[in-house]
Amino acid sequence: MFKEVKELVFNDVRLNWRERYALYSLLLYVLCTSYIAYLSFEGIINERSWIALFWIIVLFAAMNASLQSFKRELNYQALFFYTIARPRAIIIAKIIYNSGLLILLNLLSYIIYSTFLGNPISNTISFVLCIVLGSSAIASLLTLIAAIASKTNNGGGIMTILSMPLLFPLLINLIKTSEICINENEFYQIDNQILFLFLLNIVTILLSYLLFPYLWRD
Amino acid sequence: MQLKWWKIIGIILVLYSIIAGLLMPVPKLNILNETIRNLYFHVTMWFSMIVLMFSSMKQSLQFLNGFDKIHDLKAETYASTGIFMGLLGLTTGMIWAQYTWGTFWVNDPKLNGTAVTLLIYLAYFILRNSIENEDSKARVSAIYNIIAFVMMIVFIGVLPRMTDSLHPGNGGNPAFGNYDLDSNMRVVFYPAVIGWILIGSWIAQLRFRIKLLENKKENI
Repeated sequence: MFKEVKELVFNDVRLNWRERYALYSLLLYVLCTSYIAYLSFEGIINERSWIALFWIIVLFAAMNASLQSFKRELNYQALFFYTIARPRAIIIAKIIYNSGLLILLNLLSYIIYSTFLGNPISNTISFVLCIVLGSSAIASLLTLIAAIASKTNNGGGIMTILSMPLLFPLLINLIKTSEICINENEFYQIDNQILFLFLLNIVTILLSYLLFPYLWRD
Repeated sequence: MQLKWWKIIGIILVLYSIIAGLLMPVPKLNILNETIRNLYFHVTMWFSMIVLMFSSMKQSLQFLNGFDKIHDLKAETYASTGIFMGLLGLTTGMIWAQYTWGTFWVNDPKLNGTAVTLLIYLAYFILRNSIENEDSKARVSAIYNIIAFVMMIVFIGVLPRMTDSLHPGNGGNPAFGNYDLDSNMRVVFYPAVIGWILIGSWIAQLRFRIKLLENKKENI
């Protein structure tokens, strides 16, 4: 199982590296939106808007990234994958790959965004932890939803409708945590929130692990 | 035409909760005053909704365990009845909020949780209608239904407890269970909960039968 997952993750990395332009387009998206935000706020932005805008940019970048994750599999490689890999290994590999991608992307977004709009975060370590856990929670949830949406006739539209309500509370939690990161310097003030993010990660991965085999079989 | 015993119990309990709920003495509390009687009609809807959603998820699990279409149909009707109960709970809550908090809608974690729950389940119906193939429609929506229920429990069960809320029992506000809900109210409240759960299941059952007949008609 572990070997299979490792192989699949490497495979994903290799295939996506071959189509780098998709990754660059994500980066360009973050760059563009941050610059638009910079222009529209003229560099002066209050803390609440800073946080809200940051997570909204992150959310849509994540949406774009996950939308691509099942495109390839379900067109022409599906049968091939179905014969050689276990569905559980496939979904775990997808989640690992997407989480890794999103964590990297969001840390980069944080750097890009704060160069344009300043960095009000005083507790950087906690905020980075929040980005890492938040990104992986978003990624695992979106991967599962992308798998569901790929079964429908209009993948993109359904994806937004299905994932928005599921992500909404997670986003509220992330925004709350970031607010604490701005005002407080101690770690223990966000330990509850971090625990919640961690639990949400576990729940989503468990759900994907249990349910994906039923989705895969067609 | 005969009524099953649990339907009769449901009717009796709901009738009792309406009559006793409006006539029995209630504790005199500031701001709440007589609106506290809404407890019998507002909170019970949520219990009913949760039970219906749970039944829906159970049917989805059973569907995945044998791919019997009947379970899929049952899951759908339970979910739609659950949404109906949720909307009733939302309406009674909004009216109550108007009289106690001064507005129909406040930015409260429980209200947000409710809105999210309703959106998640509305998305479930959109998902159902966007897949043409009957087999994969049933399977995909069963999977989404299970995810939806788990997420709903997380959002309305865990998240509100982490933040302040205007609702009793959160953020320093006393729960009804502590001292507001005295023995007089319990006598009405618990039967009302059971009664509305039974009535909700009855509605779901009727809807299921109508759906079944419709399906039969289409197939002929």
